[in-house]
Amino acid sequence: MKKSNNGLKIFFGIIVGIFLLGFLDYFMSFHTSAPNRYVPYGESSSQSGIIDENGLFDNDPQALSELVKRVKQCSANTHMNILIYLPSSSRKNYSDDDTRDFTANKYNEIFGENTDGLLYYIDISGKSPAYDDIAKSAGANLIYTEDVCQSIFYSLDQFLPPSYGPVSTEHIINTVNNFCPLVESYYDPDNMSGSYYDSTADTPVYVYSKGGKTYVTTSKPPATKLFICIIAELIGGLITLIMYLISKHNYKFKSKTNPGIYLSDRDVRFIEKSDTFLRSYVTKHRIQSSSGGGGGYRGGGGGHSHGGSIGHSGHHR
Amino acid sequence: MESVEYKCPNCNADLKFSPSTQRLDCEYCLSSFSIDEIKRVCASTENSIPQEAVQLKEDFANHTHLYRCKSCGAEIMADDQQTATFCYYCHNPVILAGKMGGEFKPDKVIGFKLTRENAVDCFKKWVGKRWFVPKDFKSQQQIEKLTGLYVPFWLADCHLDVDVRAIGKNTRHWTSGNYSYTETKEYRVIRRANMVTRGIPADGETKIEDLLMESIEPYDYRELQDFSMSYLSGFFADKYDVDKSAVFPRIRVRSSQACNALVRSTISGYSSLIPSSETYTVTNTDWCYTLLPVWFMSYKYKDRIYEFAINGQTGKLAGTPPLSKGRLAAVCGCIGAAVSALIILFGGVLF
Repeated sequence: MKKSNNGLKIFFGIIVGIFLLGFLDYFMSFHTSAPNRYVPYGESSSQSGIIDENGLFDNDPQALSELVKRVKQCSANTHMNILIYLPSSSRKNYSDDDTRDFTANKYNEIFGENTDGLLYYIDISGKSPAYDDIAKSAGANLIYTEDVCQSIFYSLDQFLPPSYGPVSTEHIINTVNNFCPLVESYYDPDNMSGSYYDSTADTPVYVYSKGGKTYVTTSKPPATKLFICIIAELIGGLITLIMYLISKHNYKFKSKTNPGIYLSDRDVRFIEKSDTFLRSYVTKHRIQSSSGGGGGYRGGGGGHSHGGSIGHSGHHR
Repeated sequence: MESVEYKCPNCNADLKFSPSTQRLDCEYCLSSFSIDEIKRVCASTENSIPQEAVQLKEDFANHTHLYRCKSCGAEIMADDQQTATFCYYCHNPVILAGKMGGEFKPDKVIGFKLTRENAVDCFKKWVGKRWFVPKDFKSQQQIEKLTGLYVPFWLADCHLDVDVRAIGKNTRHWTSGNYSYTETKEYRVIRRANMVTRGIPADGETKIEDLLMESIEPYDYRELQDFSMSYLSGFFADKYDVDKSAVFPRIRVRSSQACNALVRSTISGYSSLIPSSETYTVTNTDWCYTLLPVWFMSYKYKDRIYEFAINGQTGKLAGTPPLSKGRLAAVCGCIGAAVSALIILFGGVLF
């Protein structure tokens, strides 16, 4: 009876402990956070548009104006800043990292840090291979993930010339006219999941969505925090258990004396002590051959720095 | 029943056996006597059942007997097994002479070499390393329970015929082309011998755990002396309640283990050994009934008795320390919590 009461006590103790830990985890995960740096969309698409640094549309301002209109409309539809940048040949020598730095800083310069939006850099500088980049800021990182961006790039590849080929206004018009619908079709603010960590920003930040609201903070997302809490508690619990069991083992009775001490050599008289060879035999087995796989290689990108919460998706043409 | 006390021939005070000097000392006139001197002086009481034995009550509750203390006249109650004790009233050592007669008279004895202070030091050192024992296990009150006790032991010299047969195998590996080859050589291994294990002890006391007594071995038998009741003065002593036939299976097992280990040590150079037959036949056993010195303590904690023993000759100690599971769990829990907190802190959960 007493034992079963003790068992019940321990059981309820464990339940209460788990409940308290759960509460603590919830509090630490969801109620401790750095300030939210996110700047909501201002319902103004005035800055959205196209920057034709290349001067491709110098002879056809009407076409450019039409395209800008289309981009602004896309911006209004998606509640995000959208800018398309057509670089001049002066950026021909930019490395991929330089391009990413440039697009991030350009976006922040025009729209401000931690605003929702993206900058599509169509590399018509003459660089080979051309490196197109989509710089995404704040909530855009959660919607236009790497997979989405690669899908957009592949869709637009058919409208853009190869790196070495001449670029015409027609290429850009077709590209922009297809880019905007793609951006609009992927836009789904109700389905922002996961999180994004910008480690290259001046102040590294996390971007995540919680309760339909976008957060840009230096704190980890609640789900990550909760995961860390649970892992920490599991490790702590495991250490507790191991220490408890080891200590308990030390309180066990130690082994008895070896009876060998009661037999001395002078009390041993061997009558027979023989090792007789009986037989010898050989067995053989076929060696199974196996082949290994090849090695892999993964290169790291160079470092770059920018403000805000910018993510990139790049694509070589 | 009559009790025996060793009185100082000079002042008639009680004599106590001193483990450090191996003599009987008088605490009052500071005289000191060797065992042989006292044997001569007390020849009339030593090794005999006293003529004037007065049994106050026959088989009180079947197993309890009353004795009269010669110092203060108090009646002392003792059970069947006790052969030496203390008077409850004047605390003088009392040897229950009638218990040591006939078949219960030990052949040999090893006197206490470890004084009470030495035993307490051993205990404190042992318990000091154990942080999670209950607090009162380390208390002075508990330490005072440490009792010097002569435990009855059967020492057995076993003569064994040993016959061990096995197949020893040696293997060699090599490869050639697409094949790996293994050559195995087999040998017939025979070891036949006459062996004598000397002085394997087995306690003849049911109240004390056998494993506990085996753990404080060995005793140095070079210090075995012919039994004299004067060694018991100042200590508790029991007579055996397990006879030699009952302890023989334990002795035989330990004797066989000793022989087995020795035989195995003579078989080497094989990559594997498959025993085919092993027989250890005890052909003859010589017995010696002996009292061996043990400092003994028991402790009751949560309905379980924990026993602790120190070899009264060598100081080797053994026992099961009681564990305060609550304290252990609390300390381990705190360390685990600290580790968790560090992971949470450095994992960036709080900022």
